[in-house]
Amino acid sequence: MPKVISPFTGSDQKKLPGSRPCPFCKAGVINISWADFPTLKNFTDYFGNIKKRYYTGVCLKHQKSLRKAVERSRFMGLIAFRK
Amino acid sequence: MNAITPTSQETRIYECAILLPSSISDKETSECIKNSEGFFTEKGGKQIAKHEWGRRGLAYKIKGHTQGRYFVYVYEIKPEYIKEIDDSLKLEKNLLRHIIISTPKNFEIVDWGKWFKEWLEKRDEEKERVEEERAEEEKKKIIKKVSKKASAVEKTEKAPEASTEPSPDLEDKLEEIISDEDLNL
Repeated sequence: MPKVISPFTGSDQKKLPGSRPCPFCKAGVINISWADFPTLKNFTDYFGNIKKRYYTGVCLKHQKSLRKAVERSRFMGLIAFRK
Repeated sequence: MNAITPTSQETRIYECAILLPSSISDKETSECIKNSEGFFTEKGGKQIAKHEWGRRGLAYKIKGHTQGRYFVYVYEIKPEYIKEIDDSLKLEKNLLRHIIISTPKNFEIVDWGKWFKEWLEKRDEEKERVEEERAEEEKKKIIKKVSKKASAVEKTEKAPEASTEPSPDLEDKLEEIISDEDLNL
């Protein structure tokens, strides 16, 4: 079964924003699914916006696929558009 | 899990998800599922996987419904028919939302409904564990406070007893002073 991925854990928490490693690359994730609610939830803030990659450390490739996944899950009613 | 690849060059693998309201009867849901599956099978689609997530709360109201049932399919079908299927799904009754996604390379089939339930159980277990730890810490704190108070009370009780008893050194000194002949008392 897949893992729940969350932005910067462990020793990465001490690193400054902008220099954090990509959590998806670290876990070896290739595709981000729209149905993976536990992971997508970690990358959205209280208001439902996608967190900036400057703070989460997600690489550009994964940020694009993450955005697509979040938009799809919003449409299907898994994640709220706005809280 | 191994990545799925299409059997022929003409076909591709698609992921289709359907959202139905949970308030409708079982007959209506089964009819809706039959129809939606029929759209794929009519065009020669081959079903690879089918997952039922069960009843689940929605993040926002969709057509007045707060709960829904998700059905996720994986089909192998020719890409020419996808638009027709999408149009026919749009006209389907009792269908709140549907989505058809062309799967990327190295696509792996995962039952996300089952995974979500496991995650919920894990989260509840962790919450319980954290609450138990907190309760234990609070107990320890209370025990520490009570023991501190008890020791303070003991100290205050012991202190006046010590003051009533005259020390032998003091008496000796007093006697020495009194017995001194140089003093003219």
